Amino acid sequence: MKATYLAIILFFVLTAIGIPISVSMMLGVIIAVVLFGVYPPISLATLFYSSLDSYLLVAIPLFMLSGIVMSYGGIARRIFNFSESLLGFLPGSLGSVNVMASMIFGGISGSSVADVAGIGAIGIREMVNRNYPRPYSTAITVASSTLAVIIPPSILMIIYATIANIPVGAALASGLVPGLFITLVLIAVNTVFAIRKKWAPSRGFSMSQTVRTAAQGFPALLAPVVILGGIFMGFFTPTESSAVAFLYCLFIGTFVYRELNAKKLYQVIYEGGRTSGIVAFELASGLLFSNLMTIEGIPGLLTHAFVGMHSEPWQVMILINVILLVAGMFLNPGFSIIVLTPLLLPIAKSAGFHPIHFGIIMVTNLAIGLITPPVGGCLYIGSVVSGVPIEKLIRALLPFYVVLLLALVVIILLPAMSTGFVEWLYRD
Amino acid sequence: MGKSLRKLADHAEGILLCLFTFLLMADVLLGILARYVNFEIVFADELGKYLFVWLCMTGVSAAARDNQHVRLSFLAARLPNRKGTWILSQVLFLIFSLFFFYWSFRLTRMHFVMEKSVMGFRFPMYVFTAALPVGFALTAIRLIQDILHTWKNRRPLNPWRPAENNDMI
Repeated sequence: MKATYLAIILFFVLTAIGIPISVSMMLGVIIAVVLFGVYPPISLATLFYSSLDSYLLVAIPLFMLSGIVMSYGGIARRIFNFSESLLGFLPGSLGSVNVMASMIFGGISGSSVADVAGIGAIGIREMVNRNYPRPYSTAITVASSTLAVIIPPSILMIIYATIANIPVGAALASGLVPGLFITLVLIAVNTVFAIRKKWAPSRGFSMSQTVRTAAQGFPALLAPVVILGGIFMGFFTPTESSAVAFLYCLFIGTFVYRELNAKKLYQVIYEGGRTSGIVAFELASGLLFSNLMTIEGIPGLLTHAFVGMHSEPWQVMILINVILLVAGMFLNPGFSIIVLTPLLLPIAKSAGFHPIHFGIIMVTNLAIGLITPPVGGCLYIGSVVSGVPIEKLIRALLPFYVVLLLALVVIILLPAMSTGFVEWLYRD
Repeated sequence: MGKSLRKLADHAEGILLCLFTFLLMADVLLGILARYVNFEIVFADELGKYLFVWLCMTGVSAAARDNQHVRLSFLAARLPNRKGTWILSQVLFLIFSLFFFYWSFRLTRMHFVMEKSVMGFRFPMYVFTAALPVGFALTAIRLIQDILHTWKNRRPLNPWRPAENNDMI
């Protein structure tokens, strides 16, 4: 126990003086392990290595690259245009268009930060150009970016599947219906807002317009079909589909839309690789810390304490959700999954929750963490892209926090929403 | 140092990332292709995994170069002597990198001596564990560059802004 406590205290101190979060965590573990002689230091190197030693994780950089190349290759803009031709007739339509575009983008990329930086930036620019308030435009963009990690493919879900040891295809599939549900909820909320503020639709619904943008966007719109279809029908493994996704986006960006060149491609690969490095540190720090906790027997103690409380499943679930929300606010999502899954999954199971259902609960919680302060990747990048100060953005986001939390409650209460599609998919 | 050499050093990570991304894509795509022509490349999965490790470790250095590793800055910003705090945090990061460089180097050497080969197929293990010492060495170099620059110019090479937070996902 002593080593874990020391690691946690050091983590807080080191983070406070501005050391990168994952480095603080690892440094804390290193000092604790060496000081208390928990295991020889060379094992730290072995552990670091083994945190990356999984074929499933290979999908992470490739899905990230797909997200980045969509923005550089003009694919994101076509998706946005198509969404507008479909939903342009709604009051305050551009907000809803923004949400729908994020949904489609999420069906290709699986990274929420890529979503805000890519299609989010387009959405905010369009909305501000047409006189929507800047904070609101940014808020709906940031809120809808949570869809990218819920809708398959999702990088968080891949990490969860590796840790929880469940089939990754099933884990990914479980996010589809909840993702569509959140899309509809956000569109509904935006429409209600628009009616109250008397925002006009951007245009009437026109079949010819829709057909035209659909034709222009067809190669882009085909991407999620190829990727998700490929995974769900069993043509590719998720890792393979990530490579196909990147190749496909590269191809249409270069040869169909002709917006990619060698220089942009270099930029894409550099950014993607850099982000993979950041994620690798998150994964390694998560494994180092969770390994230390396991050595000191903390997961067992915690489960024991929970079982000893004889609480109702709903009480357990509320507690778990509070833990996840707080973790999401302060920690990186990948780190949270690696550390918290071994702690919380046994407890959730004993309360009667299915691992696949629990996965989507966890990912949704952590997705909300991406848009809450003080550590929230999407929140910060939204603020940069739009120039809205963080405090103002948080105020504009308040109603969306409430809505997303309510959506989370629905996802918890209706397990069939997450598992139904998976069961249908693997019905044989 | 020649001008072109300097440019090369500045883009070291970018060049390596292009190489690893290309190899990784080729590996995974060939794996798919092979399956459809009923030919199995036994090492495709193993190789993909190890290219991924190389890619990530190069990315770690690239993120250190651009100061993109996620930090919590609101506390550090309130501390007196921001330059000193920044240098302190970078020095501790450097010590961390050197620690891991040393031990992962030892690990690699151990594998080298033992000639351990990867389970599925023929690649010697040390080729892949070598990604760690190489990545941490590159990271350490980038950190030293940043520390020296901050020391001389009173501000970091690429200042960390939470705004450009490249937190995953």
